[in-house]
Amino acid sequence: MDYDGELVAGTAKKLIGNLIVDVELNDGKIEPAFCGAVEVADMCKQGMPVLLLREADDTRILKNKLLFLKTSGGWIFADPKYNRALFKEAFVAKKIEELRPYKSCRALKHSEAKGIDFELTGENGEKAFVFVTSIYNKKDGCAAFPQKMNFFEMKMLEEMRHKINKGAKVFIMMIAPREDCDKAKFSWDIDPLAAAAMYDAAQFGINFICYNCKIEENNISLHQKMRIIY
Amino acid sequence: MSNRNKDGIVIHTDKKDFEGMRKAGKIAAECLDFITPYVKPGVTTEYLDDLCAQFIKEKGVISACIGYHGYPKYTCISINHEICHGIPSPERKLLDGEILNIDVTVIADGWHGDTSRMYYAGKPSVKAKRLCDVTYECLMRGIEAVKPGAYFGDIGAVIEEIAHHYGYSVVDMFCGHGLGKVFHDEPNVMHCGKKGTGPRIEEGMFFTIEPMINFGKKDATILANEWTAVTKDRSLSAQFEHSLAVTSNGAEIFTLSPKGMDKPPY
Repeated sequence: MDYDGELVAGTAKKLIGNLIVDVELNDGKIEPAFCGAVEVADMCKQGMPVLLLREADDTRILKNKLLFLKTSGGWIFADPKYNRALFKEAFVAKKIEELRPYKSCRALKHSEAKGIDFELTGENGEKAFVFVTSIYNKKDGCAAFPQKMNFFEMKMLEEMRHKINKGAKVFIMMIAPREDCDKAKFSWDIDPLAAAAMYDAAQFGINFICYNCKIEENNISLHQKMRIIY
Repeated sequence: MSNRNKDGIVIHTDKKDFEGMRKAGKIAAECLDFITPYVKPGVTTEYLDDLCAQFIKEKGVISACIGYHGYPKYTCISINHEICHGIPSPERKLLDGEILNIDVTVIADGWHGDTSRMYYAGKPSVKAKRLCDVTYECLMRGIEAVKPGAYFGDIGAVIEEIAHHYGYSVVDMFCGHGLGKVFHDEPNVMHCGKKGTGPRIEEGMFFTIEPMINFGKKDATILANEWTAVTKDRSLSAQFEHSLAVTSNGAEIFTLSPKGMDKPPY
């Protein structure tokens, strides 16, 4: 998936509030940048290299969007808005091993399945359902999950159980938008409630898939399957 | 075809609904483009309203404002400390340096196009210009938060964060709203709030985002005309508004300026 414009390099100076980061550009100018993902903004520490996407409209007061952050391990993609697009692209290219038996992919509306993102259909009409999410945390060299969950995502897990009861397969597709991890680890520490809910979900038959990303100058794509350590 | 979800919000699935909204939104935006050169010191707000009314008439559509719960004019024009619903008046002449919001809603083939922008009469002060820039930023970043699966609280959280970052406050007495065949419908789109709260945003929803940002405190009061809201501390207030639809991967803005005049200076 290509980015919407040219990227500008800089260094993070300071996180202000939850979503705005002061960035020193390579020419020494300090400019604020908007970061849509609170989880990524939280990770932003002084001195971290960042890549910004310039707004096409130069009169905007917040001219930059923080698109990438470089942690000690590597680059992290900071815009969760592209999750669905990344998944769809990888599905069409048959990159996701577990989902290769399925031929078609339909984006679901929330009212159809309480937040489940996609319905997949196999050659013989068998169904699978996929929820796509990002995981940003890192622990012991592994991408750590689950992230915090809210009430609606908890309800969605219930919906997934209904789907399993009806004979469908259900997947939670976790995208680690980074290059520095090749394993993902189940963690009880980030949000114990979410961890308990995910643990129950796994016992019930919900499948977890985790992929890292390949980050290039002009685009980002799903890269490798990550082994999940429980 | 359209139906309401469990939160009472209309979900539009028919392409014709989108076409209807595009047409109405475009005319409303064109009206704001049209009025731009006439906004200057010395003109009355009623004169601007008359011009907009004439434009709307010539386009073969109608204004949703006039007669709405007894509202007397075709547009709302709110100057300086007026937050919204300013009533155009033959006595009120624009002064050099004033900032104003013109809010237009048209009905085209039954569909509502609702939009507003800030204008400068002459040369605004640095602080007024900055308030307008930040308010526009709030609107556009709020729109960026719109995608299926996100929450209405996400929009308010972003707007509030940006406004507070620049030292301004967000009016919580008024909010954005659903629209379509109806002018004001579900949901109420709050411009402040918490991420991950409120109803889920779904593809096919039509609503407005219209943050009102105050230079001083957020508190508002209504004038004796029973329409015009002003800041209690008489500090400057600014507002921008777009009507939009939720698409599969974000939002389609119906009321973008055809001439690219979405934000002053024009």
